[in-house]
Amino acid sequence: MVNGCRVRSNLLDIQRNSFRSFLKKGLVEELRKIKDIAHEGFRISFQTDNVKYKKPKISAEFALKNGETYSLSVHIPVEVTYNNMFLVRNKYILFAKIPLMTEKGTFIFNGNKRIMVNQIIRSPGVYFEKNRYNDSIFATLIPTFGSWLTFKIDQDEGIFVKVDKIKTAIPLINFLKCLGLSRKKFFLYLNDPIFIETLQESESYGIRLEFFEFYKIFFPNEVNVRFGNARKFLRSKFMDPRKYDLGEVGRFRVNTKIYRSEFFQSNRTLQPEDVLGIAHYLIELKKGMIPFDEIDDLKNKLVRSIGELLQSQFRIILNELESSLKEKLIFLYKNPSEKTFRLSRFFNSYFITNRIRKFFSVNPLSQLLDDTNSLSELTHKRKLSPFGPNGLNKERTKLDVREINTSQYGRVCPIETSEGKNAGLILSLAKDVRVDKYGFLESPFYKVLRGKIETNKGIYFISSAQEKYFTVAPFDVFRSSQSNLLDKNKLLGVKRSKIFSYSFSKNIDFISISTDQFTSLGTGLVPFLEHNDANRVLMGSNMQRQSLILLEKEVPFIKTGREALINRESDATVLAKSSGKVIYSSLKKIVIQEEEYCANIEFFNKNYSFFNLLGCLNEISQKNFKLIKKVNQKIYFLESPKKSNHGVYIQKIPIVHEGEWVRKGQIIADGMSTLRGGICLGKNVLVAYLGWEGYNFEDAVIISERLVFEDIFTSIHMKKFKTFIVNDEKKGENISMFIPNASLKTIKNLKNNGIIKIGSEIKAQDVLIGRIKVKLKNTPKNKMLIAFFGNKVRKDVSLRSPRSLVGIVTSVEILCKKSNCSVLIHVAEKRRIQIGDKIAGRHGNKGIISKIVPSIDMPFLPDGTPVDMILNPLGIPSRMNVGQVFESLLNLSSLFLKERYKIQPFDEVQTSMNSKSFVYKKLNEARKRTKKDWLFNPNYPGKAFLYDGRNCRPFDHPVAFGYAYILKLIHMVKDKIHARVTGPYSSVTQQPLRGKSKNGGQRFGEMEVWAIEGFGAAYLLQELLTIKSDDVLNRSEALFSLINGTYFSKPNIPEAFKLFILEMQSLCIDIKIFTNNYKKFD
Amino acid sequence: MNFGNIVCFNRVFDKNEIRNLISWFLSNYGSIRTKELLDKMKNFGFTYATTTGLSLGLGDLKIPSSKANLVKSSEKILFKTRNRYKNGMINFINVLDEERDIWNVVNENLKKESINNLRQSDFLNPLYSMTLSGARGSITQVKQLIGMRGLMSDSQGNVIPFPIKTNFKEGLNITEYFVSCYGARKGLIDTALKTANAGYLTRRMIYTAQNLIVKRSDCFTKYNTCVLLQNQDKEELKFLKEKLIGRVLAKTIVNAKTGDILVSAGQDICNYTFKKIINFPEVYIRTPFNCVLMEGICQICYGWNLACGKMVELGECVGILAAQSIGEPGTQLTMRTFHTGGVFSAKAKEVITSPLNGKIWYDLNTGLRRVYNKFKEKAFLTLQEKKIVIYENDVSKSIMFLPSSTLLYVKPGRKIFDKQIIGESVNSNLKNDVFGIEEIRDVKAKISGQIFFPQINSKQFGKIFWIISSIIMSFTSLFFHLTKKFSFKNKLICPTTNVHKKELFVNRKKELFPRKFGKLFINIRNVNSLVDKSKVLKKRSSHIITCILDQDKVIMLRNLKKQKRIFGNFKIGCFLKTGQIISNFKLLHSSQIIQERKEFSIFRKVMPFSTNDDTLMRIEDKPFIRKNQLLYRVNFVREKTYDIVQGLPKVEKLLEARMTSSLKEIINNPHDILTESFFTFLDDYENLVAARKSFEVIQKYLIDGVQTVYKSQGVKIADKHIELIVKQITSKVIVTNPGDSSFMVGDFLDLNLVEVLNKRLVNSIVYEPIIMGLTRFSLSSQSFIAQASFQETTRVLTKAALQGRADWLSGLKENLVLGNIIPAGTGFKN
Repeated sequence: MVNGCRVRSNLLDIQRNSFRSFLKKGLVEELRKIKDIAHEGFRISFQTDNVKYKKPKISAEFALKNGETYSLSVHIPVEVTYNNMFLVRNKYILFAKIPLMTEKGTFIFNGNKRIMVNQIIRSPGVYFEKNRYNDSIFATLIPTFGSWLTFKIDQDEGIFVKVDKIKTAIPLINFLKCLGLSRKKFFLYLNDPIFIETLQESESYGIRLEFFEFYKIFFPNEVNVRFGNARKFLRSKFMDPRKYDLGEVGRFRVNTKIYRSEFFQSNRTLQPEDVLGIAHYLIELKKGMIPFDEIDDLKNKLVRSIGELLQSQFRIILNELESSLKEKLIFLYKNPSEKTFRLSRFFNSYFITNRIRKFFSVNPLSQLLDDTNSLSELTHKRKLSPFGPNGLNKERTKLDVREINTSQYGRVCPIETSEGKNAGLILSLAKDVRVDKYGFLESPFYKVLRGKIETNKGIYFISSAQEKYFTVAPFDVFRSSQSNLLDKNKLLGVKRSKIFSYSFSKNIDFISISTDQFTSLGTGLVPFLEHNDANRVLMGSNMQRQSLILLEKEVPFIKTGREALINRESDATVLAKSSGKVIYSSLKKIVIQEEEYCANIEFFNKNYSFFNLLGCLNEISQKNFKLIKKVNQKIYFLESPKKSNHGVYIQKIPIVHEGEWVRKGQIIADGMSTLRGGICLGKNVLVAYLGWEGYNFEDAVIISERLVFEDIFTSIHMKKFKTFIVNDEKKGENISMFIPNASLKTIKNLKNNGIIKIGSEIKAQDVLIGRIKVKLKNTPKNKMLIAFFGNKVRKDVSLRSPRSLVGIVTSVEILCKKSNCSVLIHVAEKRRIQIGDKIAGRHGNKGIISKIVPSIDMPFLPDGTPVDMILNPLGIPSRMNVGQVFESLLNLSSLFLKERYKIQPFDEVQTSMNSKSFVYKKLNEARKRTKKDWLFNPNYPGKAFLYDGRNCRPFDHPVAFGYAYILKLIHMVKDKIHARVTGPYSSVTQQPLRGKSKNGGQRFGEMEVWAIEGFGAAYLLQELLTIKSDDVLNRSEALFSLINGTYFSKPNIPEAFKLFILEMQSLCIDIKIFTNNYKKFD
Repeated sequence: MNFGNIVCFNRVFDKNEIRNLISWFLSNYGSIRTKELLDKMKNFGFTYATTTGLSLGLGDLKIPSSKANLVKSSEKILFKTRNRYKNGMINFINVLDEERDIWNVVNENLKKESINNLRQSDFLNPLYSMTLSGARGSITQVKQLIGMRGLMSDSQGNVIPFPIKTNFKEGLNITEYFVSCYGARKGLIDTALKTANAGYLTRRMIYTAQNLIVKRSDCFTKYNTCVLLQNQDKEELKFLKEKLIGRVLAKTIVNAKTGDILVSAGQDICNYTFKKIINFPEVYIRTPFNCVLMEGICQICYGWNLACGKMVELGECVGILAAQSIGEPGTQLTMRTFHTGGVFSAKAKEVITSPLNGKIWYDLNTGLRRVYNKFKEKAFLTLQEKKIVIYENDVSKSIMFLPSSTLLYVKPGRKIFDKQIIGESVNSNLKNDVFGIEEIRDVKAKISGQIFFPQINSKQFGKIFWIISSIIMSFTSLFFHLTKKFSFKNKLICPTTNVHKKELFVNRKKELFPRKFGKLFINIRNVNSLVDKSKVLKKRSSHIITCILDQDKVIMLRNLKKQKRIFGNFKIGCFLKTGQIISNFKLLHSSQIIQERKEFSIFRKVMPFSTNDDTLMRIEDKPFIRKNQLLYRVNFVREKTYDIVQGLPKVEKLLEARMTSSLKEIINNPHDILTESFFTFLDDYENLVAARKSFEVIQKYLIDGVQTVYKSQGVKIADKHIELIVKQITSKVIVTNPGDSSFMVGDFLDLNLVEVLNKRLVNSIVYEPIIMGLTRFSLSSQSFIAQASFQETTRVLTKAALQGRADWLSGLKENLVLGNIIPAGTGFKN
């Protein structure tokens, strides 16, 4: 172990730094491009050097509560002149409002927590590839924005150029001529006989014709093209920095690929020499002198975070702004003067703000924050997605993209990815990864010299492009002594020029800094990772993100050392911003008194020059320089309990008490799923691996009643109800507690205004907001009713709680925006664990609860402790997650020895079978300490004779048992269970709606139909497809015939088919249905 | 006690045994009593599983003690291989091949060993009983748990040449874990993407076969299929049994001696009748191909409904059953890779391992021949059965008899350890489930230097050439190295051969130019400190400027190494190999002797490369090579794992009768085979017979093709199901001459229909058989509603509207869409 030389991981830096650099650099950079807009005598100039940002007026919490956007406003001084006459001088205008990132990397957008997922795309630059199918060689030049160029070399060594996806190709020589390169130059440069031969064969016409040829591939139908236009077109396509930009990265990569030294460092447009270089490279490739590019290597992939994404969006917006400004200027002003000119008439900050809002709401990378727990939150912020603008298309993803690449070692987690159609596409960043200035991923390493790790030289961050030249060893290679000398004679598994192989220690250049460097956050939380199949670890790390926050949190007995790190960076915790003494601490706020010492203010008020100051120092120190104690109280308001995006109850709880001193950066309040010790996602429960009456067949799990009644797996969920209050007599709607025909029971909790009281318990179908609607329509029926009952024909349109909900109203808020008022009601619900809920361990061992057994009936340990949970031993061999067995045993000794362990993954460095021996050793220790001999028996280590709780007889064989850290996952039956007899139908097809929320039906799909067909149940099938679905007439009559005991009438043609006929007929296709007697049937 | 009615099975009841019991019970006692039996068995099983307390702990994962030796043995072999590679005896492709082969062998042996170990030491081991009973976990998984994980393959099926030597109990190390993630990802991708493909295949098959309903009891066909039973071994007979059971005989079988009718035509073949006909050379059966019904199929041609072992009932949707039966395993098997975790497994060659530690002895003189194996290893080939004795000590020894044609790798008298590989059998047939893809690999120079081709090439090892290690650097960089710290004045290259700076001059760009071309001998001792930092020039090493490549302005420096004086008959300029022991020291690199002096000799590092005949040399005309420059190219067969994921496209290719795959035309595609055989048959037979016969050929081809894919994965599908699908796609003919009929040339017609029509026509229709892929067949079915609900709805409907077609609502889909009773099952009307 290398001590004291660890990298401080700043997990959210990738988000924060990117946004910061956008505000600092990116925005101004883009603004500079439209610095001066000159049009028809007008000249608008933005003084980009003096951009000012203003803090948001509202706090983040306020925005969250009230459905507002937490945004920063950008102010820019503007100058407008008309024929050199000033219309506006240096006036600051509100330029735009940009959503501001909170400290923890989130945005609050319309009251929702959103984040921008990092995008991983092909870096701009030039790529040389081989077509798999016809073995042709081609190069693609990808700019940051602008047209893509494809260079293709064919069998006869002719090189052709294609622009974007246009199929017509033009010869390279013509293209180069258009770009302004002489024939002579490239003949000299491309010193290849065959190539030159083919080139000379190609026709050579005047330069004009070549421009026309190029122009024509874009506009094939245009007849009279002016030469100037054609030339202008080409220039604007590739030489105009506003239309074509290789970008800093693109230029850098083209330079390193093509030139020996960097040629065009500042010029980011296409240079003719670039094209020439590409041609040269292609020829060399054809000869087989140079390797092809691996596109899936991380050196060719760029991470674009929020900053870069926003910047590229800004570029588009500003271009739009420019053209719209130009339009408005002439339209609005004929003869402007300083007096009449109104800036607001042509410039409005909404123009930009709205587009940015659209970007945040439409972009697929802008997602609702997954805040089921703090791990899921952090992981979401560290995700890499290939989709989004300029990214991959979902349909066109090849298999190779999803594959793991060796360059991902230490940069992207090879394990954690989503299952399903995004497998291998959506990835997670590895723990210690860093993004360099261009956007490439870098991983930290120690230098190794002659088999010795040089920790004192510090940490080297190595990108994938650099790694190509080195031999890199993982951290778990054998070390012969503590002094970091690697064993000289042992072959070590290393990565040499990106291929895994064996090598001697003397050849190693770099070594990883930790064993868990290559894993992502969630993966690193799995103890005994190395004993599990990667698939199961994937499931484990994915399921940890779905685990619910339980009523009483518990830290796992076995940690991996990752927990505290996650705790700090999580959105949920509150960190002290400065050191001080806690003087007040409650659920609402924490007050910390800082004590700062600073110099006498008097001293600073005097104007000393620098030299004077030096001279006076003596005088000062003796006389009036005094340290003054400055007391400053800092108040940390803890957010009130609220609902996460996933309906989970979040509350912050202070963990410091009054009088305590806190350090800067210390956690002073816990949030969801964190506890002092670290992140806590589940509970340690006693499990036994045993088959039990078939109730744990196929991954089902049996739990003890204790887990239910002692609220061990109980979680709190919140539901939000929102209605608009329309107290408008004209519309006839108002809120009131006097609801017609409502029983007293349902309205007892309502206040006079018809809104439910805080703290009231609600059950299914209780009224939350009483609301009545007066029927105003002048139907004869209404008229009659009015005649009878006066003016009070009212209808109950109250907001009622859904059928499954039982809970307590925690907050009622009335929000008024302008004249629109709405009521927000939060209902908290306590959910105990029940049959059908999903639980899982950290090793991908998931299951559904199938039975809740009284704890007296559960199997019990030799000391009488009943087991909490019975898992199926058959779940282990085929899943190959042995880690769970290790975990349960070590947890057991942890409990009895009252020790907590931190298990480093891949600890089998020095001795083989380290995990096993450690676990056995600890278990044996526990046996000795507690004198419970059954804890460890050398004949059957890790097992004991358990007793059946129902008859108190021991099982025939020893049973494996131990404590496991079990998570309750967000997939609960209560949200899923659904049944429908009848319900709503779709208005067009008359088929039942879909989904639980709409009380929909179950889809009887095509494959299900085949099953019935294969079985030959013709009448059942007909029933399913007609009277149980869209046979409008018969489905209501079927009910009566059921009641009356008569036969069903003959089913009609389904509505969907009728619709089909109608649709055909509306397309003027005559289609009719005939019965047997050739009669038309309709 | 009365045991009269009790059947007693005294054996271990694993999954297979239970399956057999149930099917035996079902055929003897019927479904209702089977249901009761199953219920009882379930309760019984659950109860006893509980009281037994079957569990799986850490102690139950027992790693076989021989693992260490097995791994050690293979590492030893591979070490030798790498040495041979370093000496240029083999090229790197051989190394890769051997590495993979050896690890496969260890893998296989360890697999057997871990199961054996469990069986011998701990018969009631939970892991052992779970696996062998078939309850959970396969042997491959057991191997991964307590043996070694082995080689992995990535999502393209390529084998990653980095074996995972550890198992899950020991815990993987980081590199191994990363490699194993490839396999995991492969599984993930497969499950995510390829299940959709399997589902689509099923759907196409359903649409092709859905109208195959049992319509009549008999079609009175005159066609039949002949099955040969003669001279079959046991394995074949078992296979034939599966083929024949449930079919109906087309011709009566008569005992030739007695004249008794054994089985009459129209009788179905069950277990019992099968035994009767087993001795007959050939039997004639009815198959779906022979059915001449216009639509649907007849009872007799179909035979048994395999679900219940009775004759199929009228109205049964056999087409849908068939499509589901073929489609379901496809969906299931795509997930198989997911469960094995992407572990590569191939059939390993048979090797002979030592049973104990000791010394090996055998007679060298008789019955042996010195040979080289395919990796150019020295070995002895046994020409006859060979006795081998391994002495553990004076008392105990073990005697083995090796069969003839075995390769022996260990010389007599050598010490060997337990489980060491001592030989392999040559005849073992390998590579059943591995297929290779030929690709061209580039071999690049690992060092820069001069290329040296020796005059004589040994026949055994092909061409060997050497790269003499040297540094190629430009004048500028040499200049840079020399002038880095010192002033220009002191920048003297201290001469041993009196080379002065005068001989080098500097041009305007401060580039160093030699005045004379030739040998400059520079002793860099004096400039040691300044060249120290440049990696290339090491301390205490001398470099010779040997060559100046004028046009590139580069200079070549040779790295020389002083070493002790060596004695022996080594000529100056001769090459010495790695590991060669000369005068008490072992050479660490292959090297060439340059100078011999009194106190020491001077070497230079060389690197040998061996080439085969099929290598494409790229350096013939070049004297020098830079690092990473292309040396030569070799054809390389990259082995891939062959699983159902590769298999499913194959099934699809067959059933869709594809002519091209990835833009390249498939040689020998079904269409070609069909037309070819049709025209050959047309020489001897009339149109009708030729068409039937050529269909028969293609039908057999298709069925065999599909079956091999499924069989390779151990999936059993009854032929009958595949026959139905194949029947559909091979049922159409194309009209080449309409004769008296009103059809047009190019019309697709049903073969059965044409035959009926031709009986009535004077000038009969002339036609050719065609094969229609699943998609095309589905899109050319009679009903446009069914077509439209399949795919390309708009196109189908437009086409139907233009043709003014009528839909007679005869099939399943059409009636389903209209909400009618489907004409099958309970809705079937005679």
